[in-house]
Amino acid sequence: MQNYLENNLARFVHILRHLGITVSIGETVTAMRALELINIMDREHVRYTLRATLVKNHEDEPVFDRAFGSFFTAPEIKRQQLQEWQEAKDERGRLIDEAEQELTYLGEKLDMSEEEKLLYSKLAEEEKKRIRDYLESSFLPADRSHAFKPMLEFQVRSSLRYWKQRLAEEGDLPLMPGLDVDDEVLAAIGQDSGTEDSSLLYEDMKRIGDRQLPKVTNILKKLSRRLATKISRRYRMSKKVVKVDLRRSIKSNIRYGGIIFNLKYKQKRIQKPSILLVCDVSGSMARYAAFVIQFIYGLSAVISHIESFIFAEELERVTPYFKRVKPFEETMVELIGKSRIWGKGTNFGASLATLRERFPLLLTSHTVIIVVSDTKTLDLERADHELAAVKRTVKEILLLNTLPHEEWKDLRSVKTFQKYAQVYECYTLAHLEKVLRRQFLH
Amino acid sequence: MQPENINIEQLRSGFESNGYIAEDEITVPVYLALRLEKPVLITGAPGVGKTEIAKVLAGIFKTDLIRLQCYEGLDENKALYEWNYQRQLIKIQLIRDSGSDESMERNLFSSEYLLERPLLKAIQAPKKVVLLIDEIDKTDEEFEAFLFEVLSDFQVSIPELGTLKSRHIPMVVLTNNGERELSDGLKRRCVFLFIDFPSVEKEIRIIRVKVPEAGERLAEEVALAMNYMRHNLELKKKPSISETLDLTRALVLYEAARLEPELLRKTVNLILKDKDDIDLFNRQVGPAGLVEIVRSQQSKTQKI
Repeated sequence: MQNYLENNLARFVHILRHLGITVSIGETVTAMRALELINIMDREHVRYTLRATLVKNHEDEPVFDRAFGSFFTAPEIKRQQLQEWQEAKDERGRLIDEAEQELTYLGEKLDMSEEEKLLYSKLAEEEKKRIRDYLESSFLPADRSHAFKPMLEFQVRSSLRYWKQRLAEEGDLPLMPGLDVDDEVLAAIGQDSGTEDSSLLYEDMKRIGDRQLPKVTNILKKLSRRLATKISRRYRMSKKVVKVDLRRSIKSNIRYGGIIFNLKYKQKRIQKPSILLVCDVSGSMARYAAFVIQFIYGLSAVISHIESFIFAEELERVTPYFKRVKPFEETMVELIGKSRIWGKGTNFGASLATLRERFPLLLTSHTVIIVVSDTKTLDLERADHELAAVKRTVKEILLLNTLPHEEWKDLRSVKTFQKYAQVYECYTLAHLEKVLRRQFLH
Repeated sequence: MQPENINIEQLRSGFESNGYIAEDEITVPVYLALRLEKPVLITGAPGVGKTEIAKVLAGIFKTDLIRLQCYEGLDENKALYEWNYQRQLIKIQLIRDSGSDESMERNLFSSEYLLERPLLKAIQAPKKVVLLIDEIDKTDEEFEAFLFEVLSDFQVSIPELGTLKSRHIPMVVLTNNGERELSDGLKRRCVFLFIDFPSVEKEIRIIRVKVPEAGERLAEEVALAMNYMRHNLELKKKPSISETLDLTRALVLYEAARLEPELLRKTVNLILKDKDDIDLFNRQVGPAGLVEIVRSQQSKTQKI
C-alpha cells in the first residue's frame, strides 16, 4: 500500500473499527479535511485532530490512544512490530503442527479446530500425556475405526473444553500467540493491556478483587444513574401530549371578559416506571455476589422508589438494607449475614411464585423487572409458567445474564427466559455499559 | 480576527487573554470546530470549564453569546420560536370594529409577532454569534433529534413564514455532563472534546490567573491537595476547578499564605458537597493528614 495520507487514514480507521470504535464514512471525511488544517508534522496535533473527529466517547479514548501510538510510530518500531507479529505467527504455526502430530489415532490426524490444537499445546505435559495415552489405549478393529474416530474426537474436545473452563476460572488461561489477529498493529495493541481503569471494565466481575471494589462501585453508580435517567425519560416521552386545556383557560381568563388571553395547557401526569430488581444469589452465582450487591446498591442510590429482592431456592425482600445510608461494605456484610438463602440452590419458579403471592401490588403495568441471573434453575417448567404469569402483569422483564453468550445455545433455561424477557450478556462492566449504550429501553 | 481564518496560535493566545488556560488538547479541537464550521461537543465532569469555553469564544471574537439551557421537557417552542399569541389577540381586538381586513391574517403571522428563542436568534443574528447549548444530556431524545437537524443545515422552516436560512453559521458549543448517552447522529455531526481534571501545574496556573491575590505557595498547595483528593479518594463527586477556586478565594479571605489544617477544616464544605464524601475524607485522610501529604509532596518536588 502506498504511503499516502488518505491510505494511512483509511487503514487507521479500519483498525479502530476492529477495536470496537464505530467510525462512519462522514467522520473519516471530516478527519481528512481536519488534517488539511493542521501541521501534520506535529504528532500531538495529529493525535488530537484524529481523536476529536473520529472518537466520540471518552471511554474509547484509551483504546484510540493505544492504536494511535502503535500505528503512527517510527519506522524502526513498525519494523519491530512486524517482526514480533511474524514471530508470533510462526510460533502459532509451530504449536499447531506439534499438536497435529501428537493428536492422532492409528496414525490419522484428529479433526480439531486451530483453537483446540493451540489449547492442547498449552496444557501441562502431564495432561497432554493423559490425552495421548487415552488415544493410544483406545483400540478397535480397523474396519470399525472409521466410525469410532468421531467419538474419540468428541471425547478429546470435551476434555479440552473442561481445561479451558478450569484454566479460565483460575485465571490461568494462556495467551494464544497471534490468535485472531491478522495485522501487526492490532497485535501490538493487543499486547498492551491499557490502564487499570479501562481493564477493569473488561474484567469478569467474579474476578474483581476487594482492592478494586471502591472503583467498581463508582463505575457502577455512574452506569446505574444512566440507566435510571434512561428509564424515566423513556416513559415520559411516550406520554408527552401538549394540548390546550379549555376549561382551565376559560377559568383563568374570566378577568379579561372571557377573551382567552392566557392559554393553559393540558399535560398528562408523568408516570415513571417502578423498578423491581430481582438478583440471583444462589451457589452458582456466588462468585458474582459483590457485583449483584453493588448493582442493587448503585441503583438504590439513584432511583428513590426501587424494590429489590434476592433469590435462590426462595425469595427475600432486601429493599430495607439499601434504604439506610451505610457504606457498601457494611451493607454487604449485614445482608449476607442475615440472609437465609444466600448460596443455596436455585428455584426461580418458586421465587417468582412468592413474588406474585406476597407482593402483588408491586406487579403493575408500570413495573419493569430487572433480573440478574445465570438462568440456571431447578424446575424449569415452573419457572416458565411463573414467568409467563408475571410477564402478563408487568411492563417489561429484562435479564442481565452472567453467562457468556456462547454458552446460551446449550441451555434450555436461557431459551425459556428469552420467551418472556429481553436477555443481555452481562458479566463485565463493559457489557453493562454496552447494554445501556444500545439503548435497550426503547 | 475571524473564526474562519484563525490559526491555532491566535486561538491559544485568545484563550489566554480571556483568562482561560488551555493546552493543545483543548485548543486543537476547538480550532477544528471553528475552521470546519461544525459544533463542538464538550464533555467532562461538572466544573471543569466546559461552559467557559463558549464565553471565552464570545470574548475572543467580540460577539454575542446566545445560551440555550437544556432541561427535561424542553421543546421547540422554548428553543426555536413561538408566536406571540397575546399580541396577536390584542391586534385582533383593536381592529375588530374597523371591519374585516384581508391582509390582517397575513400581518398577524409576520415576523413582528414572532418570539425568537435562542436557536432562531442564533440563526437570524446579523453577525456570527456563539450559540451555547448547555447540558444537552438533560433534554429528551426527541428534542435531540430535532436539534441535530437544525445543526446540520442551520435553517428552520416556519410554516407561516417559509424557510429561514442562517446568515452566518454560528459557532456552536454543546456541553454534556454524561448523564445519559447522546445519540450517534448528534455525535457524528460534532467535533468531540473531553475535558479532564487539570494537572497540578495547570491548576496552579489557573489559580494564579483567576485568583491573583493568592500567593504562589498557597496556589501550589491547594492544587496539590485537590489533585491528591481526586486521584486517591473514591469520592462520589470529585472537586472541580470551580471548587478549587472557591477554596482558594476563601483561604485568601482568611489571609492564608499556606494551607493549614484548621483552615481546611473550616472550608472543606466548599470542595466536598456530599456528606458521605466529607465523612470519607475525614476518615481516610483528614485536614491534618492532607496538609502533611501536600507538604511532603512539595518537599519532594523541591528536591527534584
